[in-house]
Amino acid sequence: MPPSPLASLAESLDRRIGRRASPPSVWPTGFWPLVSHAAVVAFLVLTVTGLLLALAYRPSTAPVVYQGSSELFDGRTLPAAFASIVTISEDMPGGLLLRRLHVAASHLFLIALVAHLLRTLATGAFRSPRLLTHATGIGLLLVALGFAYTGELLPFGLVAGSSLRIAESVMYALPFAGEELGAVLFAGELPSDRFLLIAWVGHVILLPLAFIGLLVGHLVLVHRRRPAAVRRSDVDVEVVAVGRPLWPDAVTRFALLTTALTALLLISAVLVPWSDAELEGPFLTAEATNSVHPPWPLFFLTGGLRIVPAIDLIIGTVRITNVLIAGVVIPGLLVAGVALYPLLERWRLGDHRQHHALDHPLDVPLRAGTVTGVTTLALVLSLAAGVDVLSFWLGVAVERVVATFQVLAIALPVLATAAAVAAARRRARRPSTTSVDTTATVPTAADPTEEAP
Amino acid sequence: MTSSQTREPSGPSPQGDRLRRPWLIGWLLAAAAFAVVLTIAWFGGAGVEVLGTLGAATALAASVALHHLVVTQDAGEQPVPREGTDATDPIERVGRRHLLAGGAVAVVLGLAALVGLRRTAPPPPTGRWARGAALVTIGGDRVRPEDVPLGGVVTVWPEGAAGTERSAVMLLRLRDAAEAPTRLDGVIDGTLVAYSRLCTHAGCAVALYRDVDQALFCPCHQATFDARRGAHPTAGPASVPLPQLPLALADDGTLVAADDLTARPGPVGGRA
Ligand code: FES
Repeated sequence: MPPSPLASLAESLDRRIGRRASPPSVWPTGFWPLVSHAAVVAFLVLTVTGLLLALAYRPSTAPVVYQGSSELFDGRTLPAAFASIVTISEDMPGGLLLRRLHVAASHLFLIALVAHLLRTLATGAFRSPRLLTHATGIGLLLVALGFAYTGELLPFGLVAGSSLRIAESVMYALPFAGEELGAVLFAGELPSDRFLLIAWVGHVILLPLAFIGLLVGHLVLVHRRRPAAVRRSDVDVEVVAVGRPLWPDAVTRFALLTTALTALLLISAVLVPWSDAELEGPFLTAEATNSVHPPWPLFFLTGGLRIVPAIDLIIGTVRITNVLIAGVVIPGLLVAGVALYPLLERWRLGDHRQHHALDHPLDVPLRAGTVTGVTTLALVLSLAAGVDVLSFWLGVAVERVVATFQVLAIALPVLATAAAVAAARRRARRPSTTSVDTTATVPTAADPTEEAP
Repeated sequence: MTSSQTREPSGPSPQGDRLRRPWLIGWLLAAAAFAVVLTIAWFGGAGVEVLGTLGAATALAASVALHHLVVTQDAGEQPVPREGTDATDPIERVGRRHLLAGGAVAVVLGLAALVGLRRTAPPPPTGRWARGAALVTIGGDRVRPEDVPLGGVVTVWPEGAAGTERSAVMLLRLRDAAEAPTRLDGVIDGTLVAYSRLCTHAGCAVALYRDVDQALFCPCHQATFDARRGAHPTAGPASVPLPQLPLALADDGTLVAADDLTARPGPVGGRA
């Protein structure tokens, strides 16, 4: 009798997520897997708090008179979106806690994602057969940046207008059809509901769907290929994956991570006024204030806009400006750097083998240099987003701080890259190095199939 | 990691931790009790401190219970052969021909999108200034030169469009007379000038005026413009001056626009 379609579907699903009785799924333990799992926990917290907040939020800029228990805003005419934020914070039971929790979780989310990416790059976890896994990971990070940007617009606070216009100017700066693209996405004048609706649909429907889709793909791939692992003395991780079964180990551990991180986020929400509406105030036409900053994951964009010189270069019909360099070229290079580096390494090293063992960050000079250079550039640009704050703290004119950063943005990545490459070369010459050719290693464990249940 | 961590699957962990049911159930009950109190406090309208602390207590009690499960219910690490579980990477299967075909499709689609965009997109927005438009404040009141004190800044709009974003203009009373390249025929009394409030860098509001050096300053990325000399950029990332609004006086002594803005307000864009 042929197998029922349901049974074969179940079997193929099982194969896909690696949950057949034999071989069992392998869940890695240790610190670094916790980091990537923390991103998933943060996403769960964001989803729960986000759904509750969505019930009370109004994506509209229509002026309304706020009446409620906020003394600062009572009786004032506010954009409906901002008024609904004040209502959530001040008048809805638990609303302020939900808002703070949502913002706190968003920080954890992005920190975990960035840390996971850096570790993946530094250890070579992106190599074959995990090239597609890495590509989905880059997609996840880009979606997360989209969350950060749209999330900041939704309250329609004082910086919303600036954020919107800066994004528009980046569109405008694109050659050939940038103005048209900007006009389609951003044309019209504030206050208008259009931008809020776009941000709202993006933040609450499109980006979550994209994130969930990519996350499922990412996890399926991770499990089909078994996680890459740090080298160990007892087994050869190139041929044997070592980890814990889904049940009970992985499930109880993930549940513990969830409750522990939730407790941490809750405590932070008690102590830190994350993004309280009173700290900002509503959007006002034609107004802006000092220290306007985007969410920190986008600091590298602002930093570039602040320190790239005022260029105005006309080539044919193309006009090259600061915004094109800082808003399109530099971020494009950074993203391409982390997204395409695996292919560069394959091509440069001619290494087409599969790898399951993780390297030491200094094992491959090309990788050590690239990762260090890209990270340093992103870091310097992010710090440059604070030139105004630094100028205030140091009592130095902002022009001098900018000039200093212009030097640093070129010098530091170059120096750091050179240092990393030198360190990697020195490591390669040391006899005790662990960067052995793993293809030559013989499995040291007893026949692993015997140990598997 | 050492081999001692690779344990026999299932059975008690080597530390000898056995499941202590009373302990586990005790902490689970504690978590449930905190959760009940949290729910009551939530709907009773308690503040963020109380709710956050109760929530953290719930989560911590649950964490203690789960930690007990983690250390007692432990199948241990198991080696599993990788053989047969690895597929080749789909990206590796992408050959040169795929790349060429994909690139060709992308170019064609991109060109089509470009042409479509240029055909259908609305024109980039401009301000609503025109010759003769009266300058009004956000409240709709007309403005006279005397309304702008020395070193003062008043934000104005064309009458009928007060509060609209792209037409916002700032009226400044300089300490010293304006000079070229300011359009001097649009300056009243030699010191009253008007510039678009939208930064030519990235479109923020150029919200700050520094009387010391008569400079306009954009808080977004620190572009600085010389208000005496046609709002030409003197520092920061902006490369073109703020558009000027040439001013004139109406018969009743109120200010009107002598012309449209000297350029489109807002960021310059990528087209020469
Ligand atoms: S928008 Fe004014 S300096 Fe960037």
